[in-house]
Amino acid sequence: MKRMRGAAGANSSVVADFMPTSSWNISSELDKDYFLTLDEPMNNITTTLGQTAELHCKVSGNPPPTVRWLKNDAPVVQEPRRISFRATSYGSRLRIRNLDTTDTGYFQCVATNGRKTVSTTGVLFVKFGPPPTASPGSS
Amino acid sequence: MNPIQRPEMYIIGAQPVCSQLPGLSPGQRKLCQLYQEHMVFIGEGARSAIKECQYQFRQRRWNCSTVDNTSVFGRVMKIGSRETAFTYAVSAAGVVNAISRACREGELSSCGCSRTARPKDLPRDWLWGGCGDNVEYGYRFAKEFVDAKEREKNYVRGSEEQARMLMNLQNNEAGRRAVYKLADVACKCHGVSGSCSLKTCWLQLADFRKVGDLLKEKYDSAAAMRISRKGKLELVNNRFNMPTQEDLVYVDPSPDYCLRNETTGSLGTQGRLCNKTSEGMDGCELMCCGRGYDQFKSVQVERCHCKFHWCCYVKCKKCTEIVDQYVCK
Repeated sequence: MKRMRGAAGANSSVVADFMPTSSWNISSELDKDYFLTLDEPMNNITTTLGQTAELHCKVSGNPPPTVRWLKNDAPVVQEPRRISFRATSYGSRLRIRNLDTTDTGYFQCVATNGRKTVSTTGVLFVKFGPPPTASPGSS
Repeated sequence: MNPIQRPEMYIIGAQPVCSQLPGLSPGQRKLCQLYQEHMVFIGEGARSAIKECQYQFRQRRWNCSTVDNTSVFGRVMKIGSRETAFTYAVSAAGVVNAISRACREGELSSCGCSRTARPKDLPRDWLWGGCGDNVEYGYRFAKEFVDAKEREKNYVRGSEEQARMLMNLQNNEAGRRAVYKLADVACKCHGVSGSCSLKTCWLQLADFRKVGDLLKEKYDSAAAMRISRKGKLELVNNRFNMPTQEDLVYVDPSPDYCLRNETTGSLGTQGRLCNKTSEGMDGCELMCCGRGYDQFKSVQVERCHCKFHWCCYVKCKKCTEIVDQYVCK
């Protein structure tokens, strides 16, 4: 079966770490390898206008979970060359470049692999500051 | 209902606590926490939107009345009509307007003066750099806040609920764009004794009345839509052009605004003032929907024969006038 492959390729160790602590009484062969865990809570970021922020969603599971990103409960809309998210070896990463103060928000990643859903939330706070390349007024 | 149409938000000065504001969606509650200082201006924007709506529709059967405190415009907003479309658009516009100005006035810590690039057609010797209304920020923030309620829902594709959600989003956008579109360059003269040898210019919001007028035009030309199986809004009559992002759309026919109806939430026109001599919508014939009208004599007191006295006050007399008024049966 391909269940251990894909985005969760590096997760075999995670299985070993987490399985013993689980108290499930596994009966069927299919259920034996099933898991979904949140490996780390999401990071919080405080930064300023124009910077780049990366939020990490560290989850693992078998089968590999699909991850959705929400900003203040609404789906994150990707913007070309500015807002993007993609699957990584550890789960998923959301990157926002050229930050604006309206990017401030509660960002949540929701990972699902069929039976279970886990989620974690991080706060991105973009402070308003003078633009980094403020030019002195003409005198 | 549209959250910014909540009367609780009008409390000016009192910092509303996000968890106590009814009618906010979960996402808006989060935005409220993160942008607390914006909430007063959202309330301000909503109030000017209601005022504008009532002005634009003062002579119509539906006059944008605010009814109860569960939703400002009442149950009629449950119907995805043209009128509902207008209220969403004007409310979103009100928020853009109020937030953009608040930025310029330095009321918010997350924005400042507009950073719009100098217009290309601005004469070269004019200075660009006054502190302008920050419409870009107002637009972006209003998109986050106003649309949040719609965007966090997850409806079945092609359902009536999805149709209504898409309608609301489209009309919110049209409202925001109206403010954006009408913002224009304003300038001030400097130079020796106001000789205007030097001009400083900035971006300035249009008077909100102009936004109301534009949206009223959009109301008159609003497009009737329906939901396709793919979950997109499509024209009911495809002989017309597809609406742009600046246009209003609706998905339901308007209810009968003539008679009071508990189900639709229509208040009816009974008791409304009408104009006996007008042939238009404010005329008694149309306003009263053919039910006829009662005539009243009413006493109006006005200030008259005003004189200016040195210095400095104006003294007026009170004149009373008896006028005929007509009220729908």
